[in-house]
Amino acid sequence: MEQLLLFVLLGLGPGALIAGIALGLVLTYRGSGAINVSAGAMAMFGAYFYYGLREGHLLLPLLYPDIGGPLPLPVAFVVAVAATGALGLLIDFAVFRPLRRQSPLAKLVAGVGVLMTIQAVIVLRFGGQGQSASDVLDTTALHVLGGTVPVNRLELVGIVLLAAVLLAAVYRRSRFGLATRAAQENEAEALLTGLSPQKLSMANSFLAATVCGALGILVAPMTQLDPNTLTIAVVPALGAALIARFTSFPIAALAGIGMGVLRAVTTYCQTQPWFPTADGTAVVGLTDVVYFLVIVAALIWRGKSLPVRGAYVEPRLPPAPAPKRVVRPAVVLTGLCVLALLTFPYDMRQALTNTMIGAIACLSLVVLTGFVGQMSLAQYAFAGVAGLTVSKLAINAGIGFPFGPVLGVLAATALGVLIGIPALRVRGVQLAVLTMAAAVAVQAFGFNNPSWGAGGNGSPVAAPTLFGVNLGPTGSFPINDADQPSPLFGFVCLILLLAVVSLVVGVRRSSLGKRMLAVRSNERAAAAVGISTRTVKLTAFALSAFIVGIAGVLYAYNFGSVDPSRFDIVNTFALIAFAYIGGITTVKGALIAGFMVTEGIASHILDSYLGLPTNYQLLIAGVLLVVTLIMNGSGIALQPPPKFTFVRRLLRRSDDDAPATATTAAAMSMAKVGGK
Amino acid sequence: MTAQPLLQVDALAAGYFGMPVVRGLSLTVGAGEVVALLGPNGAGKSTTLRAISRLQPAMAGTIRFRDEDITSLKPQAVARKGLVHMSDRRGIFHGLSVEEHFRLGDGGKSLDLGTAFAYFPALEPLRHRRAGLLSGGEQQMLGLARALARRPSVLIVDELSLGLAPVIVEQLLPVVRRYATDSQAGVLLVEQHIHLALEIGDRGLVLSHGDLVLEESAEAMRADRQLIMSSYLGEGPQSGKRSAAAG
Ligand SMILES: Nc1ncnc2c1ncn2[C@@H]1O[C@H](COP(=O)(O)OP(=O)(O)OP(=O)(O)O)[C@@H](O)[C@H]1O
Ligand SMILES: [Mg+2]
Repeated sequence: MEQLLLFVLLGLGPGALIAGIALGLVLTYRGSGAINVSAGAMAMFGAYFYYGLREGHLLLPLLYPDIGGPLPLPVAFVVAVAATGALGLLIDFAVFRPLRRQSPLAKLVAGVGVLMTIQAVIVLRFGGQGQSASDVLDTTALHVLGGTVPVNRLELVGIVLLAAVLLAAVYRRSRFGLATRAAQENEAEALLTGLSPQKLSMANSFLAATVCGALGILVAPMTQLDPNTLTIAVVPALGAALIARFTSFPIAALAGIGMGVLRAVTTYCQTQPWFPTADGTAVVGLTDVVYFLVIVAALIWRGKSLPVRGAYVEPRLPPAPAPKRVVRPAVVLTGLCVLALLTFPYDMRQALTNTMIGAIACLSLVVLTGFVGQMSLAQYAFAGVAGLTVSKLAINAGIGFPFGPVLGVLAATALGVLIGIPALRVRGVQLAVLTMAAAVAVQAFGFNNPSWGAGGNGSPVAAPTLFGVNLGPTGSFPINDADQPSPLFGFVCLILLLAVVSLVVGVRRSSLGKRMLAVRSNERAAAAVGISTRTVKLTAFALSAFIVGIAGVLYAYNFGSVDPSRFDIVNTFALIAFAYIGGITTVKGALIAGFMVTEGIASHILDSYLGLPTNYQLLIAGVLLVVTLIMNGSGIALQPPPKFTFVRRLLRRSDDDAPATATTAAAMSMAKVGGK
Repeated sequence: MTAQPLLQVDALAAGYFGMPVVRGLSLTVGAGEVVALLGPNGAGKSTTLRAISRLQPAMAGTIRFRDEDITSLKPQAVARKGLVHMSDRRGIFHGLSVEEHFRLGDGGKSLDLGTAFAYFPALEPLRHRRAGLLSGGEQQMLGLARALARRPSVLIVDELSLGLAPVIVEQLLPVVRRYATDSQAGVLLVEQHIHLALEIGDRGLVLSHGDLVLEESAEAMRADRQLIMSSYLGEGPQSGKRSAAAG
């Protein structure tokens, strides 16, 4: 019992961080209506900035100038907190302000872009490995309960609670607080009162960033200073903020500390003999499962009562036109791919294969986000489950091709439906939050488990063979198979890509597609005309997980093993970025996105031939994601084509001559529906 | 009427998605003057007010307030200059208490609670109650009290009577009249209760399908009901000529 209490005391450190991020989330939400998933990344930025100053350097994007020796602790702390505050201002000005009339989901996805950008800046400077952050607070040991606890844990809790109480008082008493509450309730009325919601939003973003930055600096020595740990602490913080209805500061802080204590208690339980084990060691990642469950519960309990921002414009959605001409481009592209697979050198062949698999993964987002307006941050979790199922079935049950992959895809679909079920109660942004927690939980509890996951060195995947022919990347092929991957595997990917494209095009053109768009544009109105929004959303989730499951199986065969890091949530962030940049509402957009995915064709050319490493590409992708969202999220695919009039006329001629068939007319009318 | 009107709108056009709902509208409001802007539903009255307070852009025309062109200012800047727009949402915030509405202030200045309670003594016992919990009439009182406490030089009010019993409207409108006379402020009043508005107003304007179809003294309009009837029912051309002649 005493030992448990000791664990709890130690857990107060991470708890304070979660609480601080939760305070930041509440502030940003009240100030600008955005659920800022990059709040954890801001804490991480603050911690790294402080680290840089203490090393005698100034941390800037792509630069790390010497400042002539380390700054003393208090100065470094103040400067680093101010720098994080400045970052908050910048993000408010450059990201959330231009997006203020967009849907809450667009704001959330923009947060993903910001997160990616910050993370890329840090990784480019410090790499993915952790640094040892130096202590900021007093580390004197207190002797309590027969053990020792550094006094800083208690100080931290004091600081966070004080911040929460101060913020609550400011919001209750000060004119700034009243004004923020007024602007949150109704922006137009606030304007008529002479208030400036944009300035209020900036002030709140600044406060949020300073709180996150300060806590990041203070807590980094107790957790770990790496690009991921602090960033992902936003997940439990989201849970805490939800419990506080994105409104109450004291509740957010207490719930955040509670989340930290929850982690400590789980860690304590892991030391107990009764704790479930796998392969002789205690099961890992249960905390993240608990966080997920807390978030589900909080959403069901609080979701309906989250304050909505009274903006005075209906957000516009990017159009999702039905594809008109399909057969010709498909034939041309297929021909080009076949030619490329038969002639490209091995590295470009691999890149093309990656592009095709990436395009399949992006198509899963077209269905879910482009057509139905829901967002899943768990796409690679679904993919990983599919891949892992293939691997485990082969190893443990001897089930190989083709039953393994089929079962794998079905497993991904089942998980998709499972996570989609809460979607029946929660919507839009809240659902995105839920899938984010799910992704982290699946990763920590599933993939990282050495027994049923792929912990350690990954779980091997045998090559798929059919009638003795190796269809995988290691197979042989009469032409161009001097090095892996075999063109044959490329053909397998191509066939599946074509199948998925047909599926998505078919869905968009079917009545289901129309219903999906109706749900996207207005759920209530859709329900009012008799559309079962539940069925539509659940179908979309199932379909999306099914498609990304196919991508997962292909990834597994592609790499010959399932490695947890391949199915990390960070990869889902990148996937979302590429899908948006390409154009998340159209099949064409997904294909463009496929070219850009990490290690895809464009990425490979940039990396190997033009000297732009993937980490820079991710930095650019993060920025471009934000830019795309600001331009109403239509992506490259829906941009007006460049005016090479002559060339286009040449290409178009045959189509213009063709008589308009019934199907094209139908497609056109649907395009109008989609365009609305 | 003074020589220089406080509010002068010239050839204003405003609308939505590039389609004007109000076209070529010109009107003036002088010091101490109450002007009633009347018209059937959907005529474009609220749109006009929103364009004047800059809540939505003017597609054409100019808006001058106290000799300053405000056509391209931001709504919050216009509000701080003393052009107060009490919209059909009453300018209140449900999450704030009655008292907090006055502490919220007006672009930096705190508002005088005393004046507000002097206008509407009924608000005093409710000072700690959240606005969302007030009745419709109490909310309207709060909105008007707050608008007046901001001491506007021009007050534009959208349907003070919305959802209220005529008895209460009869109490509220004279307050507006009194304020205009006492402070020499201009008031532009959108109303559905035509006779009540004309009773306290100096002039009346009738808007129909976005066009000004009638502009007359309140007295004349009160006297000749037929005048309003025909302008409301869209027997436009004739009265349109009239107003063109008048303008
Ligand atoms: N937000 C909007 N988007 C598009 N059209 C609008 C919008 N608001 C009003 N309209 C249209 O503009 C026209 C004028 O509307 P407005 O609200 O100005 O009328 P009104 O005279 O205030 O009517 P009422 O007496 O019913 O309040 C109407 O035809 C209405 O459909
Ligand atoms: Mg109106």
